[in-house]
Amino acid sequence: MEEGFSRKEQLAGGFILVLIIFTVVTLLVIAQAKGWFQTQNTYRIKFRQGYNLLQGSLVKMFNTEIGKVALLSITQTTERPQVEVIIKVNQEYANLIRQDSVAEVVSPTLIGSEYVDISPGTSGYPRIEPHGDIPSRERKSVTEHLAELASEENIQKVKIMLSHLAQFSEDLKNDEKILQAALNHIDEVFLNLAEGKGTLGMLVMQKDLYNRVNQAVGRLDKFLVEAKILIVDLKPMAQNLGVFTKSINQELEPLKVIVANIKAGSEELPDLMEAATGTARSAKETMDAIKANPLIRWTAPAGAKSQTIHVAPRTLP
Amino acid sequence: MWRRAPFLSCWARLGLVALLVGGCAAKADPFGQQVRRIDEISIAGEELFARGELKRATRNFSRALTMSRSVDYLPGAAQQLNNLGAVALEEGDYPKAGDYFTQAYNLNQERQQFVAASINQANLATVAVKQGQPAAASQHLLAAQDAARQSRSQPALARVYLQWASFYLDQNDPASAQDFLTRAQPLCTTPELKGSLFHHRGRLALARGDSGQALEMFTRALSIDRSVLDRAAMAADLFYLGEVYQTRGDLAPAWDNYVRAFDVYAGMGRKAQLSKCLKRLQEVNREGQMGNSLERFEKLANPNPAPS
Repeated sequence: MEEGFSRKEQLAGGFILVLIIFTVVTLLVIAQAKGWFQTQNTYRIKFRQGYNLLQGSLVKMFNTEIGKVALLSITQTTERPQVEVIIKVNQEYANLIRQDSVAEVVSPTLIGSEYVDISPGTSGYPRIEPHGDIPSRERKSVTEHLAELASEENIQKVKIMLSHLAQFSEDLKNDEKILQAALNHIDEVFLNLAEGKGTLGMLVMQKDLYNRVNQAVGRLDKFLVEAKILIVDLKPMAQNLGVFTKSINQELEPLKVIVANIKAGSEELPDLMEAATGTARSAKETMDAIKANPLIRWTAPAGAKSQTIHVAPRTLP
Repeated sequence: MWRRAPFLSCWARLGLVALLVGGCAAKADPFGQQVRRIDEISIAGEELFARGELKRATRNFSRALTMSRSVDYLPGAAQQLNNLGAVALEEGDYPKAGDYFTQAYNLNQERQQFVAASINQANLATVAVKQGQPAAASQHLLAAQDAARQSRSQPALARVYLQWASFYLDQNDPASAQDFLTRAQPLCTTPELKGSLFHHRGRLALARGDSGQALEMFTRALSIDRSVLDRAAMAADLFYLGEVYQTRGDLAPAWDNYVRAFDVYAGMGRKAQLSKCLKRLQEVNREGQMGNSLERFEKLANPNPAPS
C-alpha cells in the first residue's frame, strides 16, 4: 500500500494556505491603515470637566488630526477634582508640542463631536516630554459666554446703540416720507410742465405763448405811449371841465330855489286839501239843502236807491 | 202892448219867494244825511258787483256796513250783510255766504223787515242749491215765501214764486214750475220781475221742446232786461237763445248768441259762466264745421292755462 497525500488533499491544503496568507495580508494592510504600527507619544491634559469628550475623540492641530484621546479619568489628588485626559499623539508631531502649547476642548458648531485642539508651540520653548502635562485652557460654556456678553455695561451700550438705531430709523423714515413727497411733487411738476399745463408749462411748452406775450408786451408799450399822449391832451380838457362844472353849479342854483319853492308849496298842500274838502262839504251841504227843499225834491228825478241784492237765480245749464 | 221884462221879473220874484218858503220848510236831518251817504256807497258797491269787480264791491259794502253800525242804522247793516253774502256767493265761498245771509235774515226778522228777510232766505236757498242740497233749498224757499206773505209785498212774493219755478226747472219738474209761473204772472209788475218771468217761461218751453215759444220768451226777456240794464239777466237770456238755436239746428245764430253771452259775462268777470259759454261755442263750431277761431274766447276763459 502506497502512503502520502493524495492529489485532492494537496489541493485542499494549498487552498487553505492561500486563504491564511490572504487573511494575514489583509490584517496587515488594515493595521497599517489604522496606524496600529505607528509610534505614539502619550501626554496628559487636565480639565475642570470632560466637556463630553469620549475615548477615541480626536486630537487636532491646525484642524488636522494628530492623535486620539486614549483615556479619561477623574483624579482627586488635589483639593479640587479634575478630569485627566490621556492623549496619544503621533510621534512625528511630537516636536510641535512645546511648553507654550495650550490644549483646549473645542465644540463643533453644528455637526460632529468635541475634540482636543492643541496650539503649536513656538520654537523658543522646549518640547514637552512624553507623559508630560500639556497646559490647558478651560473652554467657556455658552452660559459663560452669554454672561460675559450680558454684562451691565454691554447691555447699556446695546441699549444706547438700539436707541440710536431707532432714532436713526425714525429719522430715516421721516426723511424718506419727505423725500418721497418731494419726489412725487417734482414728478407732478415735471408732468404738468411736460403737458404744457400752468403758466410755466405753457411758457415752457408753447412757443405760441411766447409770441403772444411778446406781442402783448409790444402792444402795452404802444398803449403806454398813446396814454402819455392822451394825458397831455386831457390836461386842457380837465381845465375846461372845471369851467363846465362851475357853470353847472351856477345853473343848479335856480333849480334849488325851484325845489325849495315846491317843498314849501307841498307843506301848504294839506291845508289846501283841507280847505278844498271843506268847500266841497259846504257845497254838498248846500246841494243837500236845495234837495231838501220840497219844491225841488218833488220836481227832481228819483235817484237810485240802494237795495238788498237778490242773487239772480238764472242758472245756466 | 205886453211888456215882457216886468212880466218875467214878477214871476222870477215869485219863484224865489216860493224857494225861500220851501227852504224854510226843510228841516236839518244829520241822520238822514248819513243814511244817504251810506246809500251812495252801497249803490257804488252794487254797480261794482254788477261789473264783476268783487274786491272793490266788498270794500264798499264793508265800509257801508261799518258806517251803518256806527250810526245804529240796522236796516242798512242787514242790507250790507246780505250784499257781502252775495259777493261771497259769487266768489264760491258758500259757507261764508250762508253766514252773512243768516246774519242779515236775523236782523231783518227782528225788525220785521219781511221783504228783506224774504230776499235773505231766497239767497240762502241759492246757496243750498249750489251746495247740492235741494231739500235745504226748498226749506229756505218756504221761509222766503212766508216772509214775503208777511210783507204783503206782491213783488216780494213774485220773486219767491219765480225762484220756486227756477228750482223746479233745475229739478226737471216742469209741471211744478208751470204752477209757480202761473202764480207769479199777475204779481210781476216791475220790469225786473217781468224779464225774469219771461226768462223762466222760455226755460219751461225749452224743457217741453217748444223751441218757437222758447225763442219768443227769451227774446222778450232780453228786451226787458236790456231796458233795466240787468247784465246778468241779459247774458242768461242770450245764452238760452243760443241754446234754442242750437237745438233747432240753426248753428250760425246759436254761435252769435253764445258769443254775445260770452262777451257780457266777460264784462262781468264771471269765469264759471265763461267756461260754459266756451264749451257751447266749441260744440257749435264743431257741429257746424264753422272753422271759427276760438283763441279769443279761450284766452279770456282760461287766462292762465296749465303748462303742458
